[in-house]
Amino acid sequence: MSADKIPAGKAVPETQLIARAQQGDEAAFEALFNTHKRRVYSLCLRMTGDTAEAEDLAQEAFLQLFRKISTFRGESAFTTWLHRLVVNVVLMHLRKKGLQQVSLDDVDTSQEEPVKRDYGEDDQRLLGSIDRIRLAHAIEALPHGYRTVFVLHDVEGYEHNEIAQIMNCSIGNSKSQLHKARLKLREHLRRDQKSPQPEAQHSSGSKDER
Amino acid sequence: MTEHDDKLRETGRAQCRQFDRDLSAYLEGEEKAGVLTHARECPFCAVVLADLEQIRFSSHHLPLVDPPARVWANVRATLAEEGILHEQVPAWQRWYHRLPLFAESVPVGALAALAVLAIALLTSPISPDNQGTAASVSADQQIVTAGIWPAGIDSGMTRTVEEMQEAFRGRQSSMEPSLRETYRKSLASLDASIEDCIKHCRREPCDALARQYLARAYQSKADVLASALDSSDH
Amino acid sequence: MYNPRMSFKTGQAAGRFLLGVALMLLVPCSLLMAASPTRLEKSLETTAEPQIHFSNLRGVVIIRGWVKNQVHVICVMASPRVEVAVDPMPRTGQAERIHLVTHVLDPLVTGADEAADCTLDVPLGASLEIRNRQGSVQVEKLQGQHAWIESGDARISATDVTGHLTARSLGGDIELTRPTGRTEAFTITGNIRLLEPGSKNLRANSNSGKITFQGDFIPAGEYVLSTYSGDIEVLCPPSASFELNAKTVKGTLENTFSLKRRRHAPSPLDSANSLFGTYNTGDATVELTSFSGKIRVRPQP
Repeated sequence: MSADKIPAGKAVPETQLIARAQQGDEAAFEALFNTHKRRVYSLCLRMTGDTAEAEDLAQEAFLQLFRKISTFRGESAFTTWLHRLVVNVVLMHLRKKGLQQVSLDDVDTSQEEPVKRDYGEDDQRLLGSIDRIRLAHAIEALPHGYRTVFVLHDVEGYEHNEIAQIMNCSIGNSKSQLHKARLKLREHLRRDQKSPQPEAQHSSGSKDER
Repeated sequence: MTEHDDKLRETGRAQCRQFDRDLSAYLEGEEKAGVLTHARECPFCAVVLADLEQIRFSSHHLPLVDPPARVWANVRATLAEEGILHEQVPAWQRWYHRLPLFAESVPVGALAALAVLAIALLTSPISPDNQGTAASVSADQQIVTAGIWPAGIDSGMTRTVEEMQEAFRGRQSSMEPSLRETYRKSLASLDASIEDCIKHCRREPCDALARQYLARAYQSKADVLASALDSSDH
Repeated sequence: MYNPRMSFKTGQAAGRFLLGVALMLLVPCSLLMAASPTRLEKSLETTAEPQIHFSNLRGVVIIRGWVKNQVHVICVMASPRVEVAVDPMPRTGQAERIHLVTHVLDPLVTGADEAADCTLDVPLGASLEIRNRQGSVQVEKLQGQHAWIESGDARISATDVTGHLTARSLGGDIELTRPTGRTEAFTITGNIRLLEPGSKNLRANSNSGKITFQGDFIPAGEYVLSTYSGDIEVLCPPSASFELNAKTVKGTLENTFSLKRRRHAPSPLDSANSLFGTYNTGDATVELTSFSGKIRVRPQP
């Protein structure tokens, strides 16, 4: 009853997998899912900060992908196409929840708070290599708007003009929100570094090895 | 404190404020030479710059997270329901269905008789010359019923090991080739031991040492399969 | 006279120059990063007896005991997309436990690119739990309570480990030199070498590999060596004192020590080839079993 498994030791070109998936080949769907599942789920998780939502959204993204796969003509890289789809799915969800993504006000930098400095302390940079798990937690703790822009730009590599288009805001807004996000993250990480909290259980489904 | 010192402090703070204003643009790749210059002079602003660059760098390398297995299960089920998935019919079935012989209905009784004969052939006692793990499973069952199975190993355990083996067969294609080979060699070594032991136990059912070895080999096989399945999960 | 405009222009030119230099340095550096190994080096203050847990995917892992209450880690990763996360607990002050886990950050990184070669210098009193899926593990000079070492297909070697030592591999050879605590070695197809063991409780098992024991037996010690099809070879000094129980089902037995054979009533449960006897005063118990391998007991040359 089960579909022929695609031997993973033999890398099947993605174009072939896509062609097979366009014919409804279950094994090809599964292979595409396995190739992209971590990026898709991680993106959903980082943008929502919630494992249950991330699971639902990853599922929805893959369903949309497989329903629409026959329309993929290879004009762009499949990964890019998939990525855009995932971002749209997440943003639609966040908009439905009524979460303010980005302030639509024009950016006014004149009254911005000065960046915090630890005057009087020795050079206390953030530890040489930031604990990426703690950074991931800190990102999840960001306010929604900041988090979305930060994840799209610094984590996923979108440009501000793309973010502005996706989120229907100005480029200036996107830049401003990104900077604020980074400063907030810095505050969070420095606070964490000075008075570390007990290690929070990361219930995202990542499998920590013993 | 002199007026001069106050002026210097005020100039310093003004430079820090300018640094703050230019920092975002600098990090966006705009030309803001003053940022670097000031960072070289002001250790506190240098820390700010270093921190933000570190955050930017680290965020490119965040660990990826695996979704729970139910995500694929749900996707698959939905696609199947929507009729988007098509089962791949194995090549031999496609060939089989093309045979004109089977285009006509075959008497049910004749088919049933064939089925009964097939089942009878498959479940007859295994001769000592039979090879293969499938044969050794039914041989195991014979040993269990003959009452010479070692303590701690019963038909329940042999079934469990067989299920684990089946699960491993299903997952080994997704394993790293060299790792897969390591597990295969280990399992082949244990399977050879188990077969050997079973043959010996049939000939000499009272050999306690042989039974001990059989039990140990089965336990080891279960351990290795568990390790292999755990490894493929990661 | 101070001309702010001139100063600004000069400053601007200098800034552009410096930025250009920085960019010129950055481009080759980032190219190198994309192609070349990356390195992690970290030092952590610890208690005298920390627990070290290390889970690695591939590469060589070396653990050495030293006199400092500090763990010093140096890892070289084959790819910048591989990370070794180091987590001390507690986060500040002296760590009682340190977890090290290798992560692959990109699913496209496979095979040899997953490798992280790591050297850890740890306090002498450290306890270890090391799992290296596809890579060798070498442990030297540890006096902690326990050392658990697991590898898939590569070699495990442990030298001068005094605590409870467990070495497990699927296909890799295991070599344990001068272990003095309780010692266990298990492998399916690998060979096991036990050199000058000072342990009083030692078990070794290999399914198809060979077991070699070279050294003396401790009085009141228990030694159990067993294989399925691999050979077992015991080389001990003429001054050794042991009680020998050697059994094989289909293999052969060779012994060149003159044993005082025990009067032993044949039992229907006995296998075809067995040897029971005492050498000297029989202070240690030595049990050697193999299903079809050759068992040899002879004096150390």
